[in-house]
Amino acid sequence: MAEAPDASNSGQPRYAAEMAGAIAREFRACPIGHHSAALASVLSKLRAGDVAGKYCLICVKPHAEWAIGVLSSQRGVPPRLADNRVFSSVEAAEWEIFKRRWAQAYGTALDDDRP
Amino acid sequence: MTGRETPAMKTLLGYADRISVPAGGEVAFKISSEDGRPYTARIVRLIHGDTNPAGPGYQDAEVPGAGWHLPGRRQNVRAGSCAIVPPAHALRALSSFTLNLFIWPTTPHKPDQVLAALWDTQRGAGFILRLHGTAGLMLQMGDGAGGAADILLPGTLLERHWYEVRAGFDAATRRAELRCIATKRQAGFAEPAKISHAVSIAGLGGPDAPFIIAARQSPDADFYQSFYNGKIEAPRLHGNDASRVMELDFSAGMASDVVRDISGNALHGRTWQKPTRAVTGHSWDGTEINFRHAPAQYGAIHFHDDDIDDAAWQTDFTWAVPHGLRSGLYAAHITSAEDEDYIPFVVRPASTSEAKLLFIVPTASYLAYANEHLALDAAIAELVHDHVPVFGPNDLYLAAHRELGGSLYDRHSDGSGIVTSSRLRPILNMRPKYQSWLGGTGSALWQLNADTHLLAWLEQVGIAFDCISDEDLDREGAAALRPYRCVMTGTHAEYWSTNMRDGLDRFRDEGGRIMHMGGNGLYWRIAFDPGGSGAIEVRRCEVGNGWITAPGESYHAFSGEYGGLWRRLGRPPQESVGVGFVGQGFDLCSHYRRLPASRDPRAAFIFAGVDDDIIGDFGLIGGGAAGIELDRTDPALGTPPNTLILARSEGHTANYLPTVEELLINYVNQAEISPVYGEMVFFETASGGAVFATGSIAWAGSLSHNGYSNNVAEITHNVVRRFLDPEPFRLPVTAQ
Repeated sequence: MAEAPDASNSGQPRYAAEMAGAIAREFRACPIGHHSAALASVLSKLRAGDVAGKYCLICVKPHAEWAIGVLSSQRGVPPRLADNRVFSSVEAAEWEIFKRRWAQAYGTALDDDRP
Repeated sequence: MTGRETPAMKTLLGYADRISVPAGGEVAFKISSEDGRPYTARIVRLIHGDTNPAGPGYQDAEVPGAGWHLPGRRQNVRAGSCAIVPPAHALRALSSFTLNLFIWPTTPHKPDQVLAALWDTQRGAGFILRLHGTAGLMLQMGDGAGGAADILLPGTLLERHWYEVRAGFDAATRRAELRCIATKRQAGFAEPAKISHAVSIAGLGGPDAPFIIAARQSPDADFYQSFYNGKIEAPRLHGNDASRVMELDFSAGMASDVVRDISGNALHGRTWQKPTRAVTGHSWDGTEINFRHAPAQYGAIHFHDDDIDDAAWQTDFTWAVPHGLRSGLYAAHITSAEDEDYIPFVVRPASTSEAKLLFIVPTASYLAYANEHLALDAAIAELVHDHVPVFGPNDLYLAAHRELGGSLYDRHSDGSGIVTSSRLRPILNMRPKYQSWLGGTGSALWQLNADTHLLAWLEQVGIAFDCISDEDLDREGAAALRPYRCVMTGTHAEYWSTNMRDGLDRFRDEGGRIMHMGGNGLYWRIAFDPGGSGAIEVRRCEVGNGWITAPGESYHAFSGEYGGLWRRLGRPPQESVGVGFVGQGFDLCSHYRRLPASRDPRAAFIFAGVDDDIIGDFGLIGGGAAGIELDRTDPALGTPPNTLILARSEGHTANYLPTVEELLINYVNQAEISPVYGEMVFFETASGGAVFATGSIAWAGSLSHNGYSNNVAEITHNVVRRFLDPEPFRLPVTAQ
């Protein structure tokens, strides 16, 4: 289990939670583009890792629909779909992947409505 | 889409026998209908390959009278390389034999890798020497009359270590033997390993078969199988009474597919599917890094079970280019009930063409990226791009069908870099409508499809232009450019042979004008296959990308030239076009801000009607004209002193990082302290010519904004109009 994203290292859980919320909100508002140092640091952790099991996006309908895929790491075995969900924007799919990785890395779920 | 199925796989694939067709010439198309369904074909001139609804949308122009209804048939791509010596009397006459060779296995644990085979599949006659994974080395023999014998030398070979292997059979004593010894004492099998057995056969049955290195014939003898990964050097075959039968010297003819027998028996052969030549052999000691200076140390060939050079499909239809057809980028558009595909090619101009603008279709760069698998194979792809890679149906097909081969960024199944790329195979990312994970946000285009932004704009403004391919420029040099007043490069014309660079420089020095419309151009040296197949080779030395050359393997087999970046070869791109690659990012693009030099009277024609300070803060590629890969000036690398730096990009995301050759040492927050930016430049030449360079891949993606009415389109139009004007440019007084 990775350490919770607590930029202060202050040991104050409430402050850490607020920081985490701010980072998640920032990502949701702008998944691709200019990011704060705190978000960039979190993203580097979430986006690292081996090819096996790594999320990718699969374009289902050009410019219209995307699904989340999972890389196989085996030559000749294409990515599989993670599930049946289809997203109407790359940004929405990025947010879903961010939430899944966040939960896996930090053990806490992000709320869709109030991250 | 239901369940966990991925989107429908492609069912139509194809390629053409040529990438560029002269007026009046003929092009042959080779198609596979995976499900056997019939399909229709038509020829189209490609105009705008970008399907992004935020832009003009897909556009082509059908060529009248070029349509076909065709029955479908499946054609397979069969990858894997080997060397083949045709059947010969001296081989059929063998009853006893000794085979010596050096091997350097790269996947020693993989079962059933044939090192050499003289095997008559019909009669079970001859022998097969194979590396059988962890079991060891195996010699299998047959007498052609149902008698068979196997002997096994147990043990596991170490990966990437040299071994000398000897296999033999003596018909007189009916004994077979296998020996294996590492050429370096510390390697596995360091002590000589040997096994000798009495066997039940009395001869080899007169095998009527080719002698094959690194594979064997398939049982129906129509193809090859059991491919080996790794190097093989100096196979020497001795026969009855220890007579010399064949001694293959792989250091001869390394630029070709010829394999030479130096025994005097003329049992010459050929390689199949272009294994890698000009690689170090067992005796390479590092004292010489140029294979031409020490060919004896370069007597190896590196074979791969996924080498693919020529799919060798049957032709399904041909098209004779009508006389008078305008030059351009064309494609065969094939359509079935389930799928469609486009097979692009260039139609060269007729001698009567009056166009004064030439677009050099950067087909070498298309080949360099052909069928790339970076985001499927490399864990860092998402970090490099700072967003999640997106794959479409063509990517999924490539992921499932490795036999189509990879790009010059990918690695073979044994982890070694892919050094050659051929167009004689389906290339699924060299297509209109194709979106690439490399192309940033928005339209997400790369190479050919991104270049259609330029072609569509030229059609829109009604400027007559001709097209040639990189292959033409390599073959003909400046002669291919001389009929034109101005040449235009593509969005990412990155890969250049020496002939191509010589041709462009000569054109410029003779007064030609260059519009360098992309980013990271004139960057890697390549060599074209001197055999004329159109394949290109890259040796990624000094700095790598995807992989880096192994020590001692930095010279191209095709040309004998040292490889790497033109910058490191004494000819930085800045010398030719003013700017060169400095950094890249793959998320958002940004804008340029004009610099004081843009107000210089010399640049007045460029900015006529453009009052804005901010240029290109819009576009289909990443939302801006400046981005993806960025170039800038550097006087130390040859930017001419009269260069006007017209505008500079700014505001890039943290994903924009310097290229490694820009750094001698790294430090914390390097990119924040010295941010990456691109520069738009102009300079005149002493011979009345001139150069304009955008310094950005994304520029072309902004041309169509607002119905093609915007400052990027205006600047481009201003430049092309002046560059097509015969009035010579004059050097500023200070530069004379």
